Amino acid sequence: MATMNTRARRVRTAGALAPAAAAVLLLGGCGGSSPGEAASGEPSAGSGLGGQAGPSADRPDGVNAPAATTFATVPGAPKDEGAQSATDGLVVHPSAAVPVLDRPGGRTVATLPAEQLGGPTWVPVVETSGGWRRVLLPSRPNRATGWISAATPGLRTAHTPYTVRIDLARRSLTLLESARPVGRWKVAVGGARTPTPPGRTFVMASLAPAKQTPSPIVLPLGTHSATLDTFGGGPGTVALHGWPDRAVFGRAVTHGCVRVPADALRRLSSVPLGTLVLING
Amino acid sequence: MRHVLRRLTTAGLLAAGLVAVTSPAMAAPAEHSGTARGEGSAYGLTAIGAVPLAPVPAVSSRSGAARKSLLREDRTEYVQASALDVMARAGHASSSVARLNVPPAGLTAGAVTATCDGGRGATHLTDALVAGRRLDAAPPPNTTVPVDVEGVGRTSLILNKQQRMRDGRLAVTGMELNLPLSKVAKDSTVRIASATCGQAAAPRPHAHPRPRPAAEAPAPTPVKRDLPVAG
Repeated sequence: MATMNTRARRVRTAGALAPAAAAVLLLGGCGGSSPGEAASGEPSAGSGLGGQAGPSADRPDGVNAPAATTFATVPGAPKDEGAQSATDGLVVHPSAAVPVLDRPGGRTVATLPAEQLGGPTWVPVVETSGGWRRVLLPSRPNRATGWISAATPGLRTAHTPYTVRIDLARRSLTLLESARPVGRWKVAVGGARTPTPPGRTFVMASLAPAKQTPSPIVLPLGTHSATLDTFGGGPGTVALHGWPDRAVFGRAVTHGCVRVPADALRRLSSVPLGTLVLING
Repeated sequence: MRHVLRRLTTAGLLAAGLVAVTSPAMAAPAEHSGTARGEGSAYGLTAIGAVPLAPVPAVSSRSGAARKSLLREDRTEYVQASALDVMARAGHASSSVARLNVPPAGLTAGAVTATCDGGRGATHLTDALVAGRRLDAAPPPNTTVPVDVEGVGRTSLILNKQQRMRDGRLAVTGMELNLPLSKVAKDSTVRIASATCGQAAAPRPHAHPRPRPAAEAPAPTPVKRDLPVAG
């Protein structure tokens, strides 16, 4: 499928819509960053995307480490072990790029920039050790984590009462507030060849695409398609978003994203960034 | 002056370089204030920077009077003093340093005394001179005097430095001198005769507990932006 993306871009250029590429193009209407809009850590339009480390334009400690964005790969990031565990809801926001270490006091493997896709970076804390916080990263490989110092100047902490649970087998999404379900919807999940990746991730950004269709709001998560290195010119980021055709809900038909009904999207769009999304396989 | 002489006499009786008297039982009853609260603390001399000196002598007390004296401080060549005498008890502290000499700045003093009592501070200087210029015996709080250090340049001397600590207590320092030791080396800051007193700000009462958590994560504001996602 990764090679299919190259083909898809060609198809898009030619204006001929192959069925497999239709979703790309529809959301491609949401997609395609304008030149000059690229935020820190993003590759410029036309450069290679998937599987590459983003440039580290903002290096607080001078280490040549990638900026942890949805466009980057952080090779030395320790893998998240708590695949389905909820946390106490602690989320953190760095006011400037902070070093990300592979263990408390260890080696710098990345920097976490203050912004993701033009909005503030908020990442969930999944473990604490003394003055160190282990956070989920929005980069490849999936389940990438890293440690940041709690003493980082300007590090803002907050609490989100929400958790999102996605059951791939039931093709349902449940929104929990203070561990109590406050909404449950049938959703569309990844198809057999392009499954939605299971694991623990988070709401990474909230985007309002230029085109309202297929979704007025797109909520990119901190995880990526495991089978598509790139998609539609993007890095294969998995997102929660709406879909105009209600027939898809309850089916495994997407390229990895989770398509949700309009009322679910409305509720999810008010959930704080950094909120955990637990996807069970 | 008589006060200073008494302290000098006291220090002169000390056989060793440093003698500490910290037993509250030995405190004079007149020094107790029935309403005084909070910790008092004091030190005679300290330096931070290129040539650090730990505060000596240093004392603190939350109850009865505690005293320490040091006959002489001459571990470095850029600051010397004799008869360093400090006392602290609840709500009160004082520090006196005699025969001060800071050769690089041409600073000398017969005595520097700082007192802090019930959250109010004062400094008294006896025969204090900088580059031959006499300094006010009772300088107002935070008086800054320019000082020329030969071969290095102009620096500043703060007299009667009064500073509110983060915990709400008052710190009074008789003299604080920023001392550039050379044009390339890091500066040193010398503090002479410091007394701190007052009651630390009490933690917030629990009468109106805030609901946990204090910081609720904000709802996101959508960014007008496109990202091709794995739809």
